[in-house]
Amino acid sequence: MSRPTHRRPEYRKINKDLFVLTYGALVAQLCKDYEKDEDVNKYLDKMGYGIGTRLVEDFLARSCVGRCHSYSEITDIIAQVAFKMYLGITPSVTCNNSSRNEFSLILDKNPLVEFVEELPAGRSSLCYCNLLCGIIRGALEMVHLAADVTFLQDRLKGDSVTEIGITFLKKPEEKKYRRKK
Amino acid sequence: MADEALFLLLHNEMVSGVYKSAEQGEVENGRCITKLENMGFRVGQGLIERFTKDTARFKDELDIMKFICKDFWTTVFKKQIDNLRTNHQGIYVLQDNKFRLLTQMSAGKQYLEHASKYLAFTCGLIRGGLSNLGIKSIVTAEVSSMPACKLNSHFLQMFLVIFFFRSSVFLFVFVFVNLEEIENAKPILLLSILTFGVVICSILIFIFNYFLTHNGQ
Repeated sequence: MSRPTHRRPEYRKINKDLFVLTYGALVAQLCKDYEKDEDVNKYLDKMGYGIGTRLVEDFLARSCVGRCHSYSEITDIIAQVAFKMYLGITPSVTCNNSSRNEFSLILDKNPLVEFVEELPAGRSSLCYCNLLCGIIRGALEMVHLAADVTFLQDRLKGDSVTEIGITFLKKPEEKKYRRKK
Repeated sequence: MADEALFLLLHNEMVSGVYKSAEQGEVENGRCITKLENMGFRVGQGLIERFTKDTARFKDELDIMKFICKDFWTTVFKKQIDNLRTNHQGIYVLQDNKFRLLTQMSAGKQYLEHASKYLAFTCGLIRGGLSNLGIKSIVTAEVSSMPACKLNSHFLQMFLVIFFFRSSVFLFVFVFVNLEEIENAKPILLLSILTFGVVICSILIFIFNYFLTHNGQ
């Protein structure tokens, strides 16, 4: 897919603003429709799942990632290639446990909350970026990897950083390598 | 940038999500379209603000529509509007022969009945953009053959003028009713009041029309 080279840099920013503003309008509408925060979070996750299942194909078509041999490799690719490609940021990856199936992506800059000052009153347990969790979960499922993705820390809720935790659920056979293509 | 894919997928999920949570029926269909249009309105308002931060002041409505057709459409949908038509009285028709949100759906008449759902957000986007540029409008869309679509925007200029005309008529009727005691002079008084009223109305219409056309620029 070729991009016109004479494109002014502001246009790219406005393109990203379109997605961020649309997402904001969506969350605002959901807050109006649903009373409970858990319902909104669940809905965002479900929506993200639907997007993720389709986005992974677009991702694999654009990037040329080869076969992955371990969970940490997969998490590195999500952080360094996928996030960079779609959101323009590179979160850092940390491994949370010794059995190497729990990882964290730490985002110091989250473009989705660019226009958000704070969560609305009475919505303190709203996971504003829950769509991201759904997207990662959906994408991993399409490459035959079951995972649990949640927000561990959220800057909008007062924490210092935004942290997404990915827990890969146990595969039936450890030795069989899953192709990432 | 690969943002396009993200926005397309998010938009499709939004449409399917809004319709999944609604029941069948014409009323619900209208409500869903309104919901999507209002979301687009919010986004359009914010987007046009960021976009026109450094651009020069627009000369007239046609200039605004040309901006929407060229720069705005290119940024949002990576291409320009293929055809812009107007009757120079507030109605503009934007035609896009390969609308980005419909190209992946079908290339002909298949799924034509569902196309309106996917255009509601864009109609709101245009309406929001125009609203923040000082123009009240109604934007509708029609699709005769995918992926081409036509967006009609109708500028609501005459609204205030008609309102003032109506209120002036009511004012004069009220005055007439209170002058019952002056029996002989009633018909003459009525005639003079009506004539005076018509003159005032015309002046008001002229003044407000002038301000409306030159205010939003």
